[in-house]
Amino acid sequence: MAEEVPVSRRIAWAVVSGTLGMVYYVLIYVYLIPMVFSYLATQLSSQLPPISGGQLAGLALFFLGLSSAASGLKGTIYNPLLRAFSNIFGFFILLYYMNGGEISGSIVMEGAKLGLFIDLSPIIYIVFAFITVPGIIIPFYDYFTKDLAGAG
Amino acid sequence: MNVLHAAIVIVGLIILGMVTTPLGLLIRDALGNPRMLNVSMQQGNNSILITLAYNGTIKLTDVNFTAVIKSGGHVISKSAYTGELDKNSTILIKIPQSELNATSGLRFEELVLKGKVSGLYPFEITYHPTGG
Repeated sequence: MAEEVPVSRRIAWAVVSGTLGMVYYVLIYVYLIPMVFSYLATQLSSQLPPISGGQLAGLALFFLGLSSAASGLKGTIYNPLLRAFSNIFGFFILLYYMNGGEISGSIVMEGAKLGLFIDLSPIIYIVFAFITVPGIIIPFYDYFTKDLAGAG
Repeated sequence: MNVLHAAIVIVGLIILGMVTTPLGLLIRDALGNPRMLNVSMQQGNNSILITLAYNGTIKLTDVNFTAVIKSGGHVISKSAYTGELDKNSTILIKIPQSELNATSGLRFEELVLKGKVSGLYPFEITYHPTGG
C-alpha cells in the first residue's frame, strides 16, 4: 500500500513549487521581456506604461497564488487549467506593457520634428509561439497522458 | 514533459535574442552616428535630385522614401522605392524642373521613410523641418 504524504508536506511542496512558478512567470512576462522592450522604447523616446513596485509585488503574489494552487491540485483537471490561465494572463500583461508591440514617439530638434514609429510585434509572436502556447498545451498533455493514465 | 517545456522556452529565448539583436545594433548605430540617415537636395541642369544616404550597418528592406517639396506655394510629392538599403547605400528621387513652378527657394515640407528593419520590423520615420 502506498504511503500517504502528510498534508503539511504537501502544502510545503505546493508553496516551494508555487514560488518557482511565480519566479518563472514574473521573470518572463513581467520583467525580462518588457524590460528589453522598455529599453528599446526609451531609446526611441517613446512612452510606455511603467511597471511600479506595487504592481510588480501584486503580480508576483497573484502568480504565487496561482502556481501554489496548481501545485496543490496536481493530479486534478484544475492543475492544467490554472497553469494555462497563468500563461494566458501573463501574455496579456506582456501585451499591456509592450503596448501591443508598437512604439511611436517624436523628437523636436533644431526646430524640426522627427516622428518615429516601429512595430515590434514579431517579438510578441515569438513569445506567444515559444512560451505561451507550450505553457498552455503541455500541462494538459501531462494531465491526460500521465496523471489520468496513472490514476487509471 | 517539464524538460521539453524548458527546452522550448530556452529555444524561444534564444530566438528572441537573435531577433532583437538587429534592433539593438540599429539603436547603437543611431546613437553613435547622428548622420546615419542623411538627406540632401541638389539642383541639376533640368532636374532636382534628392538623395537619402544610409550609413547604418543593419539592412533596411522594402524601403519607400517620400519627399514633399514646397516652392513658391507649389507643393510636389515624389516617392522612390528600393528593396534593400544597406550600409553606404543611397536612394534617389528625381524631380524634373518642369514639374515645379519655381526653381529657387525650394525647401522640404516633409520627408517620410518607410520600410522594415532586417525584413522583420515595419518602421516609419517622418521629418517636418518647420516643426509642424
